[in-house]
Amino acid sequence: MSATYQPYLKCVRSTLTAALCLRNFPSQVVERHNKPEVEVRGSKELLLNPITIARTEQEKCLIEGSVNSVRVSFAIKQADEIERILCHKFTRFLMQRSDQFVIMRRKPADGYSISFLITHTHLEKMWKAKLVDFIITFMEDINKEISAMRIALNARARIVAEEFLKDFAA
Amino acid sequence: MLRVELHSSILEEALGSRLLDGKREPCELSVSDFDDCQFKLVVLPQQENILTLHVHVPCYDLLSANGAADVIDDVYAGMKTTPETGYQVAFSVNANEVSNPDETLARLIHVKRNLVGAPLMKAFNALKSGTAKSFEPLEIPWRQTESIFVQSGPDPANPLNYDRITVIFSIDFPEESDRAYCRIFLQQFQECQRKVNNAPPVVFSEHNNAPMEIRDKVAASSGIVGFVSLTIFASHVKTPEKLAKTVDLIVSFRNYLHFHIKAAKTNLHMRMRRKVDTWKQILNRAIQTSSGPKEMKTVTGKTFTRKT
Repeated sequence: MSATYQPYLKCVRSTLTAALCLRNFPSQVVERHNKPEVEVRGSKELLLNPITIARTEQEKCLIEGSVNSVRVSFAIKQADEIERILCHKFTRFLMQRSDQFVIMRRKPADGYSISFLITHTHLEKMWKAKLVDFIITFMEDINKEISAMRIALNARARIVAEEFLKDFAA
Repeated sequence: MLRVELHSSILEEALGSRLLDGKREPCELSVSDFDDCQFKLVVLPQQENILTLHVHVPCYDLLSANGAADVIDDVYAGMKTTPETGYQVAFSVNANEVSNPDETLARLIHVKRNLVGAPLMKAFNALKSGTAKSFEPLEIPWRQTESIFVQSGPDPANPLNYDRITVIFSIDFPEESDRAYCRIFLQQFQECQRKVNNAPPVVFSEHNNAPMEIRDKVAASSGIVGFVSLTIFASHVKTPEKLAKTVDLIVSFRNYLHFHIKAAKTNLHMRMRRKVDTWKQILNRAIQTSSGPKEMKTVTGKTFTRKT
């Protein structure tokens, strides 16, 4: 892992820990509704300033806070065509299973690869520190896994090609 | 399992049990192979010893005009009968009277290889006998967007010496991600060729940069993945065994590529599944377990409640 990656993760971790300070906040407009304000965007005073933490142009993280929910979106590094496709496949695969990952959003925010939505109910049921840990490990792992998949694909292609061509020479 | 079989296993089993093991049962078996090939094995009741194999291959007329007809007369001598509608050629054998069942079985199950390989065989024989110059360039429009081009070419250093046959495949995939995988595989073919001694030169070119030999023919075929050209020299076909092997490989190239692209996709999917499971575990660890006070027990198993 490169030297600039660790500070990036550290920054995301502390920002996220600070942003995850939520309370129960029923809707001010509709009776007996309780919705994540960061999604509803009903009133300006319930939203906090969104923060973007960027490592490079493509690799960045957007944290949008509100009184009862936080939305975290990641843009994953996509250096070339194959990484773009692998990333797309992987995130789609994950988002189809978002009911198993309670905090995952079914659709990423505009311009990002994957989004999480954490509401106050999640924080009541889960340990905050471990939740942050999960998000950080997830970020680390998805980068690693995409490059590993890419390497595996290339290695496989090489072996396949070699076997085929060896037969000509034999 | 790195290599793909040239024949259909279903066909092999059905024919093998009748030719070798003496099974006598009527049947009507339709089998579809890759590459839009179809086979139909018909054994009628009351004539259980007569096996009829109907074969459908794409662009049969073209193949037939370029060597497949000779192959039928030569390899399948005396077997040809009239095919059903929808099939272009049919072979029939009497299982009771076959003198060499193993060999007949091999001939019948490799029918696709023999028919498709016929033009290649013709080209390589021309190369072997030094008459490659007079070999007419051939395009086999195998599928709607994919073709195989076979043509002879001169040595760049000596334009009079026609010493090579170039086989060019145009490769297409409809889906975006398959195209990307295919590109990776084909690039690796090109790279590996340098490492393997005596391998035929392989060149992969993108669709907008067709090989010089066929550039004038493929102006319309834009939007495919690209072209792979394999250059076969006389050394690859000098013995009959090598010739047969080379034809086998070229006929199976497309299936081989498709098979391995699918296998690679499966592998990636397995990796993703595994990774998702580990993440799920991490997330589940974050969930707080029951928040009530733990039930206490003494060593003997009695419970007690603290009364305040």
